[in-house]
Amino acid sequence: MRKLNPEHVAAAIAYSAQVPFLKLAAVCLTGLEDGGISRMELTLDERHMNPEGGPHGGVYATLVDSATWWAVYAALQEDVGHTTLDLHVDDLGRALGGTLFVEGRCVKLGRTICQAEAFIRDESGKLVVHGTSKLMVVPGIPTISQAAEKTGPGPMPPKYLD
Amino acid sequence: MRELNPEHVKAAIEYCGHAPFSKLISFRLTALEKGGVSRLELDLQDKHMNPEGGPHGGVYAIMVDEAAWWAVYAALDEDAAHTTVDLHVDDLGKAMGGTLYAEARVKKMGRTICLAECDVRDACGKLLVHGTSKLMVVPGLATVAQTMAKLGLSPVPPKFMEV
Repeated sequence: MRKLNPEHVAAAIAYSAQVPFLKLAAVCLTGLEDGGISRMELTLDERHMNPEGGPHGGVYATLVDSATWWAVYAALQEDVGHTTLDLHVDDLGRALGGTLFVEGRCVKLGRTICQAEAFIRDESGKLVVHGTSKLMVVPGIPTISQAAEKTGPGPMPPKYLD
Repeated sequence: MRELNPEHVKAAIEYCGHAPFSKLISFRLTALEKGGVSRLELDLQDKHMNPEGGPHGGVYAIMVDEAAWWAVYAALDEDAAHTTVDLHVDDLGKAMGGTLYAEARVKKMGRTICLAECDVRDACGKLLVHGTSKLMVVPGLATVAQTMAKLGLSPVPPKFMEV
């Protein structure tokens, strides 16, 4: 298995931290691991909540969408871009507050279509959401390295170690 | 058929506008219609976008989730409350900017499980997203009217009028 370059992972985490929508929703990428694994966190506060109580369903959907995208990213070759085709979110429990922990896993890396899943757990480890997403590898759409060069953070270190 | 009370719809739109998450994301409920229809709008801004271009997928998912919830709300009995069980979003096109329009419709009003579907279009009418959501009617869950009372908002007018 190819090994992710820890310096590339650090640059991807820094890149993700300046994505406007992730900043807005306070979603943090915390790790990328070999074989297509991503980890994200979100500390719930008042702005994520429904007036009736509990986080807005859109918070969960945003976490599944992001974690599955990054899970496929962690398995994808360096020079291709990918985009989300669909998203499925199953609500399985209720988070009462605190921090949500998300693990994304790429379950199939196809030449064109990839499938990933995500688990959202609360601080006690209770499974709150399971989600899946299909993503498409699209030749010619910008990779994050290209976007990083264009939008600020600058060139990223190589993705994989030899 | 019972008609939605326009005064209640106005109060619901205002209530949605007060919710912290709607303010954060800047979506707005614009209509509830009889039979279980809701309309939602969002003006795309820099904060919604990916650096690679296009809105973040979470923006579409939030609109489908919210519009589906309100579509079921528009058909639900006054004293019942509901919560989302699942959400499915299919990305069908790319928004170039401007305003996104979501229209959600109830496909099945069950005693316990309801299904709603939602289209999200851009200002030209191009279909960007189709989504579905299942929602569950939960006895004992706080209703919008109860939550409004708890938040100290003025009492909400009756939801339906007999015609």
